[in-house]
Amino acid sequence: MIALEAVLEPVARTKGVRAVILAAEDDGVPVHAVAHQDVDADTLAALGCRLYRSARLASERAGFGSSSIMHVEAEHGQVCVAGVRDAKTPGALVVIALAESDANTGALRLALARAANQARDAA
Amino acid sequence: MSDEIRRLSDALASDPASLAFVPLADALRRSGQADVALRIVLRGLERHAYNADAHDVAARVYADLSDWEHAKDEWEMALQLSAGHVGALRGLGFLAYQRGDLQNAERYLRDAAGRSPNDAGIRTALERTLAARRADEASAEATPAPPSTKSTYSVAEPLGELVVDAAGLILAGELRDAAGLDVSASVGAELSGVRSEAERALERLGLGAWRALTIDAQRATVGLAPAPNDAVTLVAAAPQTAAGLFRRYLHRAGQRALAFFEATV
Repeated sequence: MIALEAVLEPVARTKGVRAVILAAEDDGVPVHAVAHQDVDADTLAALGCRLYRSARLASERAGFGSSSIMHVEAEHGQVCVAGVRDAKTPGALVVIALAESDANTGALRLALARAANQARDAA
Repeated sequence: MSDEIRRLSDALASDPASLAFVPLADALRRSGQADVALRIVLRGLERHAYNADAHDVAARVYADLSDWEHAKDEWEMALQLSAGHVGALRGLGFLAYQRGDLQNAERYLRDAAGRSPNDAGIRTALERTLAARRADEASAEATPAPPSTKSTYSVAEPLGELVVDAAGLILAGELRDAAGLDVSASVGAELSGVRSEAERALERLGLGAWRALTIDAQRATVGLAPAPNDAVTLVAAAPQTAAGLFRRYLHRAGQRALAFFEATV
């Protein structure tokens, strides 16, 4: 079994990433986090989970089905959230990454998708 | 100047916000004045960015100018705005035929012929395409398959785009599901609310204003971008659409939304 720390490390090493967190989707509580000192991991986990959940539910109600990755680009950074496990099952997990606005989005999404897949096996 | 062009020019001059620019540009194009036609139709599109017939005429003008890339863009836009637009289907069929993509040419032209069975031009184009396909197949059977010489990429087209106001009501655009049903209202109402959630989260995280939000869902890739007056631009494309391509779709949709607000609000 892969340790959760090992799952998050490749994302944390991606250039421009300031934090990566594995959290429970329903309550936003971090399970494991790798974050720069100036990042409040608890707040990022809570807000990232809430936004992902809101987008996922809206997508389902709109008929597009459940979401696997949500990506938000903002003026001073980007937030990317990937679902680890079927969101309808109890204890669903998500991986949340916070990155600089000029971080390579393709690399970030790829690293996050890989981490979500590995976390599914590890969890 | 022909009577038709004079009459349409007068109509447009007396009401610059009218749709008279559409038949006027087409008449100019048919009379061989493609450059003037292009200026007229592009100016008109600034006010009527969501008029499918105007995009169809713009595509025809570009085709007359041998600008195939812009012609394709305009016909694709017409098709997004009005699913089954016969002019756009015919045009895309023509472009596909021209670049040797006979499979897609047949698909577009069959669709157009089904919607406009009395159009002799479409029927003739379809028959020519089918004949070319038969000739290709006969040739392929007679000779060994050559190595792949594919020269163009296969590009997924967006399913549709919407401009949704702050109350979740549709301002412009159309979105249909796989069965062809108009799902604009439900999608707009459900997804526009994500905007306020994103704004709250980004403010708390100190990340500033949001620029785009993308959701990779099971049955579609969906993107939201801010539009003026607290509205949202929404684009949906097939699942697994390349992320970079989707970002371009969203950017282009945002520009059209801006033009829409400048012209109407």
